[in-house]
Amino acid sequence: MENAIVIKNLCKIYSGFELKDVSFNLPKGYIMGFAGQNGAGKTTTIRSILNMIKINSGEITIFGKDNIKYEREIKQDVGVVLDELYFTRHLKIKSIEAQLKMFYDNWNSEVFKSYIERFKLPYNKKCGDFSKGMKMKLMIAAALAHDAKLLILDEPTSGLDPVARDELLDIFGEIIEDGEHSILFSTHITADIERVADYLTILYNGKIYETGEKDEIMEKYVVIKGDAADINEEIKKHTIGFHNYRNGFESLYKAEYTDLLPDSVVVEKASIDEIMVYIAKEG
Amino acid sequence: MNIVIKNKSDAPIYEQIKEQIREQILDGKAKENEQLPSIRQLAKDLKISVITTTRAYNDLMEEGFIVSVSGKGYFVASKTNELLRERLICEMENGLEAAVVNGRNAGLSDEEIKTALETVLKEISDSE
Amino acid sequence: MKNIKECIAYAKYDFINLKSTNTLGMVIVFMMFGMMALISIPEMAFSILIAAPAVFNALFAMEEESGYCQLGFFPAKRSNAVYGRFLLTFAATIVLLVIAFVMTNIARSANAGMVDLSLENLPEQAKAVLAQFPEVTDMFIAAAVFLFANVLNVTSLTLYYAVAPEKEIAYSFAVMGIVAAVGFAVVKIADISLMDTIEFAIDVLENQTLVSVICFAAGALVNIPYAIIASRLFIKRIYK
Repeated sequence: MENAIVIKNLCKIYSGFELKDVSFNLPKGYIMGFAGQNGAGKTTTIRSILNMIKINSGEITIFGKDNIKYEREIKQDVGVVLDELYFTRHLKIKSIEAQLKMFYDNWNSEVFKSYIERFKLPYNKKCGDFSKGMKMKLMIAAALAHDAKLLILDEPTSGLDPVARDELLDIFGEIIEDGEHSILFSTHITADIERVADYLTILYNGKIYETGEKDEIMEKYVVIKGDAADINEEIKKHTIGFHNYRNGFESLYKAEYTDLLPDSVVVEKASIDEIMVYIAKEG
Repeated sequence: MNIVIKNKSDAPIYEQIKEQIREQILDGKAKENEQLPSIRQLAKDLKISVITTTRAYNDLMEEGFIVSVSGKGYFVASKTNELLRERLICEMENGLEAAVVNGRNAGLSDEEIKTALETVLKEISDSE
Repeated sequence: MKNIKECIAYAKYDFINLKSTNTLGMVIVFMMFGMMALISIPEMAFSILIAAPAVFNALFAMEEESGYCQLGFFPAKRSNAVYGRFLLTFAATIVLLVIAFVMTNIARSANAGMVDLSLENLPEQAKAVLAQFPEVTDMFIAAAVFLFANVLNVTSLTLYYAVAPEKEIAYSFAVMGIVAAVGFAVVKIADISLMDTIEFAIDVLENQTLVSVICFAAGALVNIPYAIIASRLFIKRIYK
């Protein structure tokens, strides 16, 4: 299977924070959700992929090519959406298009226009005055106008209302439909990942905690609750972030060992949020 | 093809999809050889992941409910499809077993149960 | 070839940023002010115009946050953004230089009574103005001064933009060095000794009115803190 992104042993050291041995793949034609606490390293990873920062070691290939050696070529087919608008704030849409089309060989003005109209973005307003949702849609329209085969989005839905978030997920579905486009998006709104992502990568403290098919990962964990007296040492071994409260305990638990649990213990599906919270509790 | 996903249900989404497609095929609501939406189209329409719909379709293929025609897509298996036929026969046998148990619980004799079966067969043939 | 295309694209990118703001209007007003002062103090126009590259760059600097980020994912070499901006400021400076020469000489001719600034006899008046043009060597020296002002600007720009691996920074500095060398070479070819150049510069300074000296100094000085701010921002970025 072809991969849109292959990351091997990515390391980046800052004073006070380190990305260590981050490795994961995004197969072509699929969506990967990127989850992790603030400061876990998601933005650093994305910047590394885009060669916006200098990494200490590791290999990143996009569409099979080294992301540094073939940077210019690769970026023709990559679209980026960030949580902050990156166009010059006092420009209107026509000026922005004039700037962008010089850099992209396959800029298609018709496609750009059709997205601007579909998203109902105003030609007469400075882009800095757009609402958050409009800014995000503008960045997406620009990415799609040069037919980016890989879309990288860093917190694209932060600050968006539910309607706009839903629209974004719709757009994802459309982009992915032909199997030629791939999407990597990082977000705190893990419900979005649970909904549409095919693959999931969870970063914790600069390291990969889980990466792989989202369904598989989520099926690996359950949340268990009950009376602490019902839990023996063997069960405790497989808990993550075990916490005893006054009226019972709560913990993340490895689903493969659920047969060890007594009937009195409540077992529920674990959401990505819960997985992340319990991982953090485990420390 | 009408598929509705219950987000708050405990059942995994791919199970729900399988269940609903299966039922529609068994009910006859989905006709044999009817084309299903492509894996990616279904994922887009339901706003779920492609891998999930792929899994549902793969399982349904293994169970014999749908077939994949290369270059064309996925279709409801025709009734001549062996696996589907076996599955339908299995469903029938389950139904008959349940009928027999119910009949006996009601105190009917084997003869009475057979008569009831023949009545139902006649009713259905008449209405077709 | 690709590099040249990219430099030009970046130059246009900067130009679009610039022309869309009211700051372009501000620059024009600034220049008009200079032109008006020109009528009474011709040399002042020159001084003000030396500050022009700094003004441009200050304006660009206001857009840096967003600009920097976007440059990170354009399919183009980031250091070409530096050269592109150099192209733009250099081109703008040349245009200003030409305008300054022309306006100064119109003023000088008017002061000397050789033209009456009416719309009659335009070809005659134009000839009189052209006759006032400084010697070619003087023009070279002026060009070299402007070039040096630009080198100072672009060095700070290089520092700001060049978040790419070290060798690109080295290349950028190499280009700056070449530019500076060309400036000095021009002076050499025009067969003026370095001492003469310095003496000439001192003459120029001594003969200016106080106001234009202040303008000249302000223009040069504006570049220095800008270079400091830009290099500190660069250091922050390169160690990201």
